[in-house]
Amino acid sequence: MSAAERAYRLLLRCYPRRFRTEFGAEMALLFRDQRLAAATSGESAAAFWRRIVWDLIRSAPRQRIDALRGADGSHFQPEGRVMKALAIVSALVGVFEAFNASAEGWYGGIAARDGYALTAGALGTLAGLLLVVAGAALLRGARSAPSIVHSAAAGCLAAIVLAAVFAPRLSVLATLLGVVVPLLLLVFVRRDRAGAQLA
Amino acid sequence: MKQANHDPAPESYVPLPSASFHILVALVDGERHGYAIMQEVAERTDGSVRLGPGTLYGSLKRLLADGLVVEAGERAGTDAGEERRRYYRLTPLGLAVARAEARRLESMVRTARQKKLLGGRTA
Repeated sequence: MSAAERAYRLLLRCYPRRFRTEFGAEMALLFRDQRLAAATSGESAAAFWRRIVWDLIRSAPRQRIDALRGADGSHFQPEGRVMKALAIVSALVGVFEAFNASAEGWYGGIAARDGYALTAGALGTLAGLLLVVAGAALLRGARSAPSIVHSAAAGCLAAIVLAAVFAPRLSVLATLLGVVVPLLLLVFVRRDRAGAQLA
Repeated sequence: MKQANHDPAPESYVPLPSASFHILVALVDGERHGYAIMQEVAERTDGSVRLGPGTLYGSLKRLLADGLVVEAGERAGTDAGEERRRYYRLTPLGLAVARAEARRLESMVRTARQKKLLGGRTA
């Protein structure tokens, strides 16, 4: 396989996974044929690649939009208002948690030179960011959303528990939110999996 | 996306995106694989339309979903050592939609002629 073909196979990652699975091999074959034809006709490599990249820019977003809509049947659809509300709450709480923990870490850790507070602040910030990731994945509805939510929620819980055990400096509210929201996420994702709502 | 199994009117699919119409026209003569479709379109348009892989297969995906085109199996070409390729075939609905789109375009061209936008002749 030539370097150009390898490069094109990398570019194919711009398309959604299901589209690549369905047409990726054929597209790579067509790319190879077009490249040979371009070389034979005397078309410059720059002009050829410009055409290929333009084709990618015009077609990949459309496929991504189809995939996001679930139009290609490849996507996890968080059903119901509760799941959507939970996704939004998770993202908002995550932002709050990250800012709050950063502030607690900054004032308690750096300003007051308390190593425990600094550690708690870092763990709390990480937990908040993981909640944002979980909420965004749920809202985006990608096929991998359940596993992303599962990992992010578990990571958030672990960070909060670690902070509570080894550096108990986070506020009660931050600790509570950092435990309750990921637990809810885990319960709802598990329920949705059981309900066969995964594409 | 329209469902093919409800026998929708061919006119409900028009206007077609330009790439989709080119693909349907390329398949009127028989089954073709992706590169053959691309070549046919390029030759027919004197090279002014060159379908890239993303545009071609993105359009084929839509045409397959709408039931205008079906896969006609995978086979190697006549040349020795040629890879196996997936062939595509027009469905009766696809042919009807291509005709409906051609009629629509013909009507537009007729109007353009009447308005002397094309050579000043009437159809």
